Amino acid sequence: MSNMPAFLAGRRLLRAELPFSDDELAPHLAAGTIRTTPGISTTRAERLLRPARHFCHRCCTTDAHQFQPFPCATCAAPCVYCRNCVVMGRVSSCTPLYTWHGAAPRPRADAGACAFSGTLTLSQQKAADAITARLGQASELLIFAVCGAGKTELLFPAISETLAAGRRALIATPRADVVHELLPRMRSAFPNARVTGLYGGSEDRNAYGDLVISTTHQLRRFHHAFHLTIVDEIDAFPYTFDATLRHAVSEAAHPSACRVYLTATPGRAELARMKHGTLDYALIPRRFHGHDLPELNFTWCTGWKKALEKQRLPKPVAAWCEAQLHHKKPAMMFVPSKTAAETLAAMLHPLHPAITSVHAEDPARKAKVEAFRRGEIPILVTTTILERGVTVPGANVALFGADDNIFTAAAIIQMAGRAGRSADEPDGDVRLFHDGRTNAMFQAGRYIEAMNAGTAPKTI
Amino acid sequence: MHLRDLTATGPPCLACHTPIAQPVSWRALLIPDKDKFCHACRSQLCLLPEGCPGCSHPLLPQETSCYSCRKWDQSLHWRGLINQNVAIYPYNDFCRNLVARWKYRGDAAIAEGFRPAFVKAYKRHFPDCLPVPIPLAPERLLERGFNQAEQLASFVGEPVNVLKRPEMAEKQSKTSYAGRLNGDSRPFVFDNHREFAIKDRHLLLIDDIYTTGATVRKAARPLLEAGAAAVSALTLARAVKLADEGGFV
Ligand SMILES: [Zn+2]
Ligand SMILES: [Zn+2]
Ligand SMILES: [Zn+2]
Ligand SMILES: [Zn+2]
Repeated sequence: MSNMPAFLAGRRLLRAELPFSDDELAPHLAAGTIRTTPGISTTRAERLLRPARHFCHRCCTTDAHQFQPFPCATCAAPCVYCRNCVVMGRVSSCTPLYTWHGAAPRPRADAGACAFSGTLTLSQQKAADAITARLGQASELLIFAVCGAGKTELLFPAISETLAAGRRALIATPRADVVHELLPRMRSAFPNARVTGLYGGSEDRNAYGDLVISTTHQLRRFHHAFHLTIVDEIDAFPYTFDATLRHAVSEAAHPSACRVYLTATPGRAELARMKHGTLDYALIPRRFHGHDLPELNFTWCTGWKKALEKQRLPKPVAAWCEAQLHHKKPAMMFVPSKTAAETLAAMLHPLHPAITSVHAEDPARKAKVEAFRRGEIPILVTTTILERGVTVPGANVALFGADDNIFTAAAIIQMAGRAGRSADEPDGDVRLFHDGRTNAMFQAGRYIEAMNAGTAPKTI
Repeated sequence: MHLRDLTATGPPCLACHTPIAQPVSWRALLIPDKDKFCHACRSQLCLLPEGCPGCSHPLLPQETSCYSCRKWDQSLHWRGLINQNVAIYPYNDFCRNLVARWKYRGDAAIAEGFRPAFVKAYKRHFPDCLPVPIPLAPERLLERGFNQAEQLASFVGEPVNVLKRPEMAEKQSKTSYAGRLNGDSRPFVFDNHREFAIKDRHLLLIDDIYTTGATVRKAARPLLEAGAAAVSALTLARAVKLADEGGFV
């Protein structure tokens, strides 16, 4: 079948995922253009205290809880399967993974042509140069950029160069909505390249792409495919950028790939590596419009927990909300919990009937966010789920109960990053209603000071 | 790390993957809670109350058996094939979702969460019965990689695999209740070399879901013909419809 290379190149798939018959596969298996590797490898148990350890070659997990024995009908041997990635089709000890080793499709010679005509800021340009300098060599680079720095644009030169060299590029992101958002932008920036978007249920799932924009889950089906691997928002991954995921990225990447990580708030592990000089980074301390990050404003709101219980709206909060409504500023009010969101929204309701709350399990979440973007909701009371992604020009941000544990320094920085995003209205009000300043609040404040001074913050 | 951290979280919940909170007490430390589901998931997986003696379907106050069982008993052809069916959980949305992940997604470990209740029901209702799992058609078995009924059967003893399902009959779930009721198809055959294993024994058919009861009855017929003394059934879940929706159809 002629489309077999396009389908299989750079992938590692289960037999059930291959739309080919045994007769079609047999000659390739015999010739070695398709090879199989075990899905799970197991080390032998030594002594009582060191039981057998397993490794899943698809999701790269080694967590013992995830490997479970099951009564396998295919093999008689003791068979374990990986629960961590079972939703993608079960990988067990007796399940082979199929990889392609024949001639593979490549980007066309003109695929690197970039239609982006804007200019990069000085620090954007520096970061872009740092990536292009590392292309073609196995390397890692962290782009440490504030929220609203314009991370997408600075990727264009490196992607362009990679595609022009006849190699594939990948942008991986934890969230499917980022795939939706990036796909049209990348398609118009690279009109001659085949750009595919992969997320659960996407139509491009089986298509070959020169530039692939993928959720991290879908990434697990790739193997040694990309010479440029960009991972967006490494701090937003569930359980942060853990070893499993880093491993999955290296698996999808070609052994000599340049791996680029983007983040506004690197985790502890990355900060340590940056400090010790084992992880190169490029700093973008300024937003694309060149203005400072809005400073944090702290406002005492004593006894906010009690006030919520008694359904009393604290005066400073009421005053702030009224001011937003008066100046017709869209505002996001972050709260520590779902119940807090619902109670606060109910209390704010008399100020404006369209004020509403949103949380993770809210079925109308998408619709509410859209309505907020269109300006139909003046104040959106939300749990931390909207800490990233939602950008509304001219928006102000408040954190209700900012001393709650859920507001980590990174979370506060991300939430504050929602304000002042547009060039027309670069100043935003970021208000923290608290009952005593926490370490996280101080750290977030120091982060913003450092970035505005053009230096990298030491801790987050 | 505090001792508290060590005791406060256990292995992840089989259904939702959040670590299971363990009560911080000496008792919990010495006798760890063996439940594989977290509290929130467990509470959605409620047990069926005492119901119809024939099939565990919930009954109205004035009823002594459910509509479906009365229908079966009215038919000369189907009457008396199984003594009774005991089901453990109502087949509600949560249970359906969990069973789908277990069966179709192939997440076989989920069955471990059902083990305690399954073993308890076996010991209470059928302590001396031989477990006979409902077999899968060969192509289904190949596709899924394991037989969920056999997995359940293995919880209560060595599964007695005396039934075969030769080739795919028309897909079970697509045929109507009436069709299944009247249809005299024989999807199961007895493995002829194993009469000695079941002669004069009380057999217990094991399956995941009892929907209309046709499957277990069709499986019971060849067993009785081969010399079994009696056949009952133990299923994980029972599809439940309320009487005010017009009876179970
Ligand atoms: Zn896995
Ligand atoms: Zn196996
Ligand atoms: Zn759970
Ligand atoms: Zn009944």
